[in-house]
Amino acid sequence: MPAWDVIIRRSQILSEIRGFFEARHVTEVTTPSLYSAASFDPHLASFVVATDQGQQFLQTSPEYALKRVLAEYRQPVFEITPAFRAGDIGRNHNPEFLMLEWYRPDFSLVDLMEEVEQLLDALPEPPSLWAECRKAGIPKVSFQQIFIETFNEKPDDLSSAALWEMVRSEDVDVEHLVFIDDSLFKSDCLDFLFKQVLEPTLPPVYFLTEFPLCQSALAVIDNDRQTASRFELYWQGVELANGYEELRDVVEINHRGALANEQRKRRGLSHIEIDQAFVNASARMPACAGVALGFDRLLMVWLEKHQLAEVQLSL
Amino acid sequence: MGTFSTNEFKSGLKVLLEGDPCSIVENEFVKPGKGQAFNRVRLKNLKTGRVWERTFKSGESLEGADVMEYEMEYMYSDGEYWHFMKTDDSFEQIAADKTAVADAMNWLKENSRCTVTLWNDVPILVQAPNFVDLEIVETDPGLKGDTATGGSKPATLTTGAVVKVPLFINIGEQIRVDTRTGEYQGRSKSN
Repeated sequence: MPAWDVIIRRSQILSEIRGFFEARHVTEVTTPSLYSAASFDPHLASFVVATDQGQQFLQTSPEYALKRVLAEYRQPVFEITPAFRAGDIGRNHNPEFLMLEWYRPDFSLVDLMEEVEQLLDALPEPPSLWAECRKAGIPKVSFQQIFIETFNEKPDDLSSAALWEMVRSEDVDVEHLVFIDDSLFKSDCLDFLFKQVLEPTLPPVYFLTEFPLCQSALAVIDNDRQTASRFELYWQGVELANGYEELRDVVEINHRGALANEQRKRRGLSHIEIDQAFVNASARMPACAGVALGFDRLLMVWLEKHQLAEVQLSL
Repeated sequence: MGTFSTNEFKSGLKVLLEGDPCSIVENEFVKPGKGQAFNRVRLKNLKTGRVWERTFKSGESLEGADVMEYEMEYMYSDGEYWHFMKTDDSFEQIAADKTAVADAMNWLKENSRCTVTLWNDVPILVQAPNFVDLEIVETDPGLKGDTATGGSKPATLTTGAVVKVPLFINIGEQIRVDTRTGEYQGRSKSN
């Protein structure tokens, strides 16, 4: 079990976070963890629960529910809630973890990144690494740009075969990767190349921006830049936050859902029904940017611990 | 024996990898962002003793290996096999070949309590106890009062193993050796 002072600091930080949002008129909401739909992301597995209303799922994130809240009330909202991901267990992973997620109508991605930085700045007793970072501000690294600078190719221009060759030429054990000629495999290769080749050259804390199109998830595509409007916040190699300029195009969302199901099928995973209530809500919600932040991981790096088990009560 | 998936891999779990029985040493779960999760696993090959590192797709499984470890007492050797008896009052005996005995050969003494690893009931590895008391049968004589110089000399033990000992140690003396390092620990308590 974590030390008592960790428990106290967790409590203080949660309090600060609530104060931060209250001052900015972002309202806390509580959405159900048990929901009728699962996430269709091929890399996420939802826990299935048998209920009197039939099969339901523990949420991998409050995204679907919060977007329905946004569609209904059209107000900036945040939630601090347990999220559940089956099979994810390790130093930086626990199947149940605490997620801080919030949505800002009319914010651009840049506005939201600024707010993430301001949130961190509001937290008490920062670690020494934060003092160093905030002097110059958290740098923004364009994935598109560093990939082109390093490999002389646009990530989305490379075929699965070409990416696979690049991965194998790194001469590192990749027995976990199996060649499949689709965009999900390309995404996995790009993740590998990022971790192996690009990340070691980057500063300890940064926002990664301008994602490749094959990693659009539920983010809007920037047609001029031909990149996905996403950002991720990294702290010493640990992903802390994942933000999007949220997709609201119904046709596009359903298209991405269908694509995900094809990818799932190719990998022997179950078909997931696309939650139409969520899709409809996406069409009705205001233009917004949203971000999901792993609170346990934030606590872990803020307190300079090295694994979630040091900051999470695991009983 | 069943199969085990990557999220069941724990230190000490015995699995089959490429036909060899292995013990899991360490299991690290890695998931880049929202990408393909994998496990970086370190395994010890119980037949060869080598440790190797491999990645597995998260959720992949390996067959369990029928590996059992028993505490056994060393009885004797007929030159071809080394004979051990289980210490659990079953009087069960097994015969381990040279490959299985390997390094332990340097430290085996009658009634030594060893750990014998069996795979499908065949001994594949013998581990001597961490410390063993053995008599010196051959070494250069030490000069009286030679306790200050701190030098060392080789000494041959009853098993044939050669260990570095302080200059004042003589033939016939019993010394304690750390079998994991082959290092002299001191004179045996009951000398």
